Amino acid sequence: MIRKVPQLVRGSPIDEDPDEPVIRRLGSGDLDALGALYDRHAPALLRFARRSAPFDDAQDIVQTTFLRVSRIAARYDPARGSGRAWLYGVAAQVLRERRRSMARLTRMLARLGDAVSIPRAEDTPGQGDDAVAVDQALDRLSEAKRVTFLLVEVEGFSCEEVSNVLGVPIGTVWTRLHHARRELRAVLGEEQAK
Amino acid sequence: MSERCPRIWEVEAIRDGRLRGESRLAHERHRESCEDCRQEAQALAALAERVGRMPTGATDDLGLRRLRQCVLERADAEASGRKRHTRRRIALLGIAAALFAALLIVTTAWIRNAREAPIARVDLVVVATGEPGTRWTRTTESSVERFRLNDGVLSLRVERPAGARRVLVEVPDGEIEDLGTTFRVEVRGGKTARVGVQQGIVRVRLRDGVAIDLKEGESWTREPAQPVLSVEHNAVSTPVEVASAAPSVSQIHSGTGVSRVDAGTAAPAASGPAVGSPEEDAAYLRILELLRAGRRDAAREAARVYLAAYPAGFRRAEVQRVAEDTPR
Repeated sequence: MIRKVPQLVRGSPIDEDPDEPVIRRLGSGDLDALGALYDRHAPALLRFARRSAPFDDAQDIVQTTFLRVSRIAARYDPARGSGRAWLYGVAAQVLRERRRSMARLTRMLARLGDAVSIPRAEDTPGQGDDAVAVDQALDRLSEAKRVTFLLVEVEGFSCEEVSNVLGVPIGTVWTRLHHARRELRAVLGEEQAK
Repeated sequence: MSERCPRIWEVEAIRDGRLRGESRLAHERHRESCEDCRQEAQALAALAERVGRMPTGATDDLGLRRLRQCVLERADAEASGRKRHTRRRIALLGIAAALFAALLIVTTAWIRNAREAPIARVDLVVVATGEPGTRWTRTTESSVERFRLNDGVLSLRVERPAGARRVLVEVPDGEIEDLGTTFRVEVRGGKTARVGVQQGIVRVRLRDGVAIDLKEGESWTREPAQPVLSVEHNAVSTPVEVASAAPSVSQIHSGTGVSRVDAGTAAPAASGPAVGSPEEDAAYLRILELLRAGRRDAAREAARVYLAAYPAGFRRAEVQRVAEDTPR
């Protein structure tokens, strides 16, 4: 009996990936390709960064992501996922590094006795109560759960793609997703009850 | 409190892609009639939508363009830096490769010199002198100094330090290898007639079975009448029988079989050998042997024969005292 293998990865090499030739050009040193990649993905990446990190850090994260992409584009392997997924994977790595350095800085300042407030959506003018609640709920998640949730539920990547770009087993992605949903629902349900 | 549907977990599993194919279809059929599962699916979708709806600040086109400009400028600067770094690295690699090559060449040359040095440092000195009418050639090879003696008498004086080339004298019927000595080879009629060693050791290897080492003062002579080999022990040996008046032959046992000790005095008388020749040496040694054997009369007689044959011999003074029976 022949069992049909399901298509697991969205944007796999079987599909036409419009980003692949651009990343290849970038890998061969064509900086115009970086401009093209930026134009195509920067707005969405900026939104992703703003949801994932303190508001003011978003631009730095996007800038660092594109600079890193320009350095490592030659190593891009289309077999491991689409160009877009790879780009978000780099952004997630930048976020993780930034979060760690911020945590170190926070601990250092806390030792000095200063209260550190990291600006988030509530500090951003023009945001409604619901946005603040969602932002706070996201903020309560661990960085790994938050990024996994946002990549799957907001950016629309499959769990397999997220597993590839984050370099974690797919079971870990499922677990993180499950816990992220449960925690978010718990927090946002309380908010709604209030 | 009512129990929730036990299949409610399948909603999340379908959303995450864990449930596919028939299982998914079965659940979707179930969901049509299950309120719990339908609500769960709606709640999960609503959560995603709510988070996705969260405003992330207005996308400022100017800000995006500014960021783009900044990204491209920094990327360009990094690329230039990388190129400079790459060029510097290539230059350093080139220098390192050149140094390595130079080191390799020097090391190779040093090793080669070290290998060749023993030969280069060890100077082989071979002085070959052929008597008039002698036919011989000399060839220098990498490991052998080769002489080919076809006929005549060739004298060689070899100073051969350890590690130097071998010295080989090829004779029509074999070869003689020098082991650092002064020696003399005589070939007559296509055969080695005589090999005499004045100093050092010589190895004689002839096709007719002769394979002997001749030490200082020894010589080997081919018997003219019969192909019996004889070794002349010019040095001290133990005679068994000595003829006093007519110096002829005495038998000894050598390692190679029956050999003869030749007094060597008949030949000088007959043919008048030259002063300083092996025959003269043999005649002198013969006198010494007789003296050691306590046969003073025979020694005196042999001394007279020596003086008659070699009136200008090197040992004339000593032999004269023996002939006159005067103690030293």
